[in-house]
Amino acid sequence: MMEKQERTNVGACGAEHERPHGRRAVLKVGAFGALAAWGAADKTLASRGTANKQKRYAMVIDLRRCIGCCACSVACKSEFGVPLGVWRSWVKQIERGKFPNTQRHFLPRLCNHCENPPCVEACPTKSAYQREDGANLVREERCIGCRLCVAACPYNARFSHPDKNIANKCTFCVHRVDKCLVPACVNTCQGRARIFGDLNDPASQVAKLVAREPVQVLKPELGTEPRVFYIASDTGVAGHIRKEI
Amino acid sequence: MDQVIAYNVEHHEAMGVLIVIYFFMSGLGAGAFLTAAGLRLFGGEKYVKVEKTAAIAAPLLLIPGLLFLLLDLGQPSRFFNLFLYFNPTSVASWGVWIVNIFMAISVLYAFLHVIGKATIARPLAYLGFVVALVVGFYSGMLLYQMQGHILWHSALVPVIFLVSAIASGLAVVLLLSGSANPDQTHLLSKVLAIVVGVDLVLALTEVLTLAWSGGDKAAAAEVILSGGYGFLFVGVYLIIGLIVPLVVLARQQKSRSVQVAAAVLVLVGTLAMRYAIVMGGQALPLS
Repeated sequence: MMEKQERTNVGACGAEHERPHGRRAVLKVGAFGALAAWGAADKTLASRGTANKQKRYAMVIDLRRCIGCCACSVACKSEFGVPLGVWRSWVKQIERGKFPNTQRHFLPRLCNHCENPPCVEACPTKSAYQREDGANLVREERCIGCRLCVAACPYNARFSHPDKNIANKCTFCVHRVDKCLVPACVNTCQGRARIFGDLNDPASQVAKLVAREPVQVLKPELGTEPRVFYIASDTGVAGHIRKEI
Repeated sequence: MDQVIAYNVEHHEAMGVLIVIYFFMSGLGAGAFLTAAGLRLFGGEKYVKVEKTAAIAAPLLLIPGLLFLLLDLGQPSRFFNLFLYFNPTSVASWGVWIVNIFMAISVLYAFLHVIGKATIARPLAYLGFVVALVVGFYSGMLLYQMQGHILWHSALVPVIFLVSAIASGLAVVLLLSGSANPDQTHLLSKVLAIVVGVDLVLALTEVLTLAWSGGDKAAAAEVILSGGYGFLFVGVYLIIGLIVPLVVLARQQKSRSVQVAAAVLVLVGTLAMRYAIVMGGQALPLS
């Protein structure tokens, strides 16, 4: 049942909290302990999933409002302590035209939290999984670091964590969202270009924007159905092969 | 219109040299086993000496390859998770089981040859033949699943990986069979010439389809034709590894020196192809 009171930019209140880079105790118990704990962990995930069943988190990035300040990249780095050299969120920038007709375009990037995530399909141990609210996450205690999900992601959103040697990525800040906060990048965005919310809630701002504005997603031809939508995205900045357009 | 990417993030390649070596060595193992099982099923007892060489070579090539795969993991000590959890949509999840079954079969097959009981190996040869074909196919399937990488996501990639695995397996058996009867190595070099010919047709079809598709696909073809991996793919693989062995084997299959030269070139070419496809496939930016 949809609750009318739950409005825009608000997470799944009351659901279980997940720490961003908390190593679970199972790591220390060893193989058999991990096996036993797995059942319990899956149960927790299932109950959390039920709590969020009606939700489908999404983000709209209104490029008309983006000024390329990269505060989102910094907030993300600081929220998760993302190591040097790797990024969960960044701002791609291109320069177009010849003087005097020039323009700089920005494309804030993060995991697209696809409806059909290729990373989840490719993961041989089901470490990559999709929560029922749509967030694509990593079971860190199970990941073997084979990097097949990194290769499978068509958006360069995943990477191997340089210190942990396992897959790492944007989590849609579920640890914040589950506590009724918006993701760190959304929270910090000065131009309010990043808008987060529940796509299944017709009253949410993301649902309204996706319905009413001309929105684009990255590489729609792959059928991944990204849940990060862009308003006023330029073909040049969204394209990935360095060719003149 | 003039356009410059002023800033973007490109993460480190997901697959590196260790994976390339694994693809190469598991292909050698599968190819050597296919040679052994093929000789048993279609050749008969007169080829038993070559068959024994091939049967023993198969696990000795495959197992170090698997160790490279293990070393490539970020958390090698958690490899057992591959057996605890199964993901039916993941090619790798199937591959782990297939490769391990193949390893068991190839070890058993080699053991039967060592203890001189090769005559009872026929049912195992049937089973192993099918499993080895799947193993040869699977490396390419692993790449094929990654739809974001244009060079990998082609229906021909798994077939090319299988055919080049057979070619390189035949080549390594040919190299190791120096003391065998010339009739037997003659047969191997004839089959090698046919497989190399098929590989050449497939590889040309693949690159020309990409090159003539325009857009992103043409850009992917450029990487392995004239770009950073052009020397390895065209020079080493297509010319030195396929065309030259095909020409020399077409003219002369009985000379031992020609056989050795062709076999070495095929091995070098196969390794170059795997490197160019795996690394070149990751050369284009994803975002």
